[in-house]
Amino acid sequence: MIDADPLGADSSGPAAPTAERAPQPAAHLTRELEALLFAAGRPLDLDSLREAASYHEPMEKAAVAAALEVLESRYPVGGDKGFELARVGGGWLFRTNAACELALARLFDAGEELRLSPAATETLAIVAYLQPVSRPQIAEIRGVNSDSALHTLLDRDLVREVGRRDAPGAAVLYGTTTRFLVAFDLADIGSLPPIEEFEVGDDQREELKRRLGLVVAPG
Amino acid sequence: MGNPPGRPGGSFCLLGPRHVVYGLDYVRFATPAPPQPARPPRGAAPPLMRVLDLDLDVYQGPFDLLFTLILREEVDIFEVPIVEVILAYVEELAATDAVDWEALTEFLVLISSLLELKSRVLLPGEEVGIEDADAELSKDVLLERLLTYRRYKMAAASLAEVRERQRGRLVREPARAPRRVLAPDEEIRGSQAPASLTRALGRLLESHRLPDTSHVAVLRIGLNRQIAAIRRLLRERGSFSFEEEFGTEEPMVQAVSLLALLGLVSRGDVKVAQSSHFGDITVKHVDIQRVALRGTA
Repeated sequence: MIDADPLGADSSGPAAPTAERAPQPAAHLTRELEALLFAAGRPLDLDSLREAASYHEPMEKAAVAAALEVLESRYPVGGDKGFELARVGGGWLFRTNAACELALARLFDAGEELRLSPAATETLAIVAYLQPVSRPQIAEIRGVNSDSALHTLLDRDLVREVGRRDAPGAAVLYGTTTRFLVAFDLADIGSLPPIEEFEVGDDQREELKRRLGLVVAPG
Repeated sequence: MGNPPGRPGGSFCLLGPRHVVYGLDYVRFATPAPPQPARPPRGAAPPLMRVLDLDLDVYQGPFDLLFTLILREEVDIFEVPIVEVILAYVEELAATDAVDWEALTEFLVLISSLLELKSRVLLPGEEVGIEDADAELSKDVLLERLLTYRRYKMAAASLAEVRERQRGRLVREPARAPRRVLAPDEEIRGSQAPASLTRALGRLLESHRLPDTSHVAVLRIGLNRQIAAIRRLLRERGSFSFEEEFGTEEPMVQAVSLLALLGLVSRGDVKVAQSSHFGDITVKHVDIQRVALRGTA
């Protein structure tokens, strides 16, 4: 639904004027969306917001998008307010401004529950990029059994079962959750940096080949 | 699942918090691993010895360890002193009171994976110039697996970095549980063709039907029952042929009947005779006269 919305990709800066800009949204609609997002505590997508605002008559999608644009400029990410409206997890979500971390950490557990061991983080990366993925696939890549790491991720609601493989054995398949997208500041799963970015450099690749005896070392 | 004390988040625990130097100054296990200068200049260290700092706590698996050994420590896989690693581990194991089975298992997995990898690389080394297709293939596979692993390890590092920046971004808990709204009637009505509903229900019922077991014969058989059956036969006839009475029964019935017969033989109640191996067994009552008397009475 994010792809379909008429807003630009940049949610942090002031919205650039576009040719097909909707008329100024009604103040009551902006206010209602603000209330919905304030109460939600989870990302709300355009359809849910539109559904909620359509209590009298069906609300135009463009009107809702325009009202969201007003809210985004009112609560910009990294702005001077204590909280911001972010596009994460397939919708819009109010969260505190990262600039307030030190003060927040004095009173609250600042996301400590999402501290992950290296094993769990590796497993999470594999699930995020390869989903839907099975336990044996994860173990194959990591070279070790990853059940315990996977349990941690399931417990923390970062990963969930998404189905079973349609093959003998019907292995359980895992994928990431909305909570994962929120925790890692991702609008959707497509916003992950491409996996190719993490390839080793050519020189390291050659060095590996040489040390494995795949090419004859010079000299 | 929490980590046992002394194993902060690591997968492989070789040593406790101590810093120990083991075996010929060759392998040294240290926590934490100190930052390593690229490579000591040749000749600076004693020429025959190299110190290898390994903190198995920080390695996430055999690929991780191997990758580090090869690229950071610049060790050829030929040089990885697996026996030293094992000896050091065994010594450490002997020195500790409690055995951490999980850590032990992980160590075994790590070392056996390393051994497997190393043997794959070492074996074809003897035949210089001779192409060993399988060995080359497995080395290629190993390289690919190392690179694949490395890719996800780097992706994980990037995720961890993002997560670190998210520390100040807190989200409120939902004020109320979301209302469960049923779809409006007009959306449901006519949204599916009746035939597809029938098929869907059919599949649902089919999946709940108990499996057809009619082809599986129900065997009701017991030792006491067969003992009683043999006794009844003897009472009626004095003797009988095992083959005639039980030869057409299910194998299980035959087996239990034979056990029943052996039980009666061991008690001395019946006599058996068999003319040849695997031949028919003739069963007779020991006190045939009494049976005969009872028969006339």
